[in-house]
Amino acid sequence: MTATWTAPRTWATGNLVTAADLNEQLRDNLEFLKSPPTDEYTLNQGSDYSTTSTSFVDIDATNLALTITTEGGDVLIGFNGTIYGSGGTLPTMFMDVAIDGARMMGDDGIFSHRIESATSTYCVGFVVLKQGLSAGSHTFKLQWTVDAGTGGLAAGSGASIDVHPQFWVREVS
Amino acid sequence: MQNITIARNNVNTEALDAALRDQLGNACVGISVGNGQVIVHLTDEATSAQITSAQQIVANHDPEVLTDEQQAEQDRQQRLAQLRPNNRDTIQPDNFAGQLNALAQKIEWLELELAELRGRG
Repeated sequence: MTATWTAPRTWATGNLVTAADLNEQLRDNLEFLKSPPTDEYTLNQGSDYSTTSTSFVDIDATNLALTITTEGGDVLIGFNGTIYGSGGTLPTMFMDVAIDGARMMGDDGIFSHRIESATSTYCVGFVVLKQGLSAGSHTFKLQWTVDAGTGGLAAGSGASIDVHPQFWVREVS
Repeated sequence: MQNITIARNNVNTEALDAALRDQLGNACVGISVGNGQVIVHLTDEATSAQITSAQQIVANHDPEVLTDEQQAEQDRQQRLAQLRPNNRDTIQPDNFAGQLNALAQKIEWLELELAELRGRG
């Protein structure tokens, strides 16, 4: 049974505690906290991703698009991966997360990383906290952009290096 | 932004991006490749003719055709591979007395190694 959350009630002396009350207040709420709304995707694709877009775009609108239904509150969002770059002008890569279509951080996103060498790879990652998200279904899409050249994300294809980035979201309060 | 999605694998991202920008100019914001598809990112003002042109360029794209920069990088790597076997020993200045041409060859090799360390040509 999918765990459900019910706002804890304030008990008063003399209140009758029924099995239904205990199941709702203790069992269901504890089960919900043990397994809060979570979604994740671990990349193991047939090819790496690359972009030359100088505006933020979805890295993968199908797979790096996570959906959870929250009870209202805070959500942790995390990503780790290996990036690289190429081109006559090597790129600086920027990443952000679009929540329900709106970029979380705006401006230049959550982080940027300057690609200094076309023969190097770079481990990048972030964990961010989205606070005060309303109750309901929410979609989280990982987005990126570059300022020049071509940016790449290893995706488990084995073409360059066979690593497996992970993108995840989890309601935490 | 208009995102034009075309299913295809095996893409030379830099070359395809260059071809699209050459044809479409500022209407092309860039491309994204992965998951078995190419997405051409066009501005909201891009016309239907430009969209059609983008689709044709992607469909006709030959990933084996290198950009000038890619070709130059390939040539540099080949030249470096040729020079390295003859430059394994440390430089002995006395060996270059009156040997200006030999010194120039040594400098050529060093330039290539430095460029390799910097990760670009």
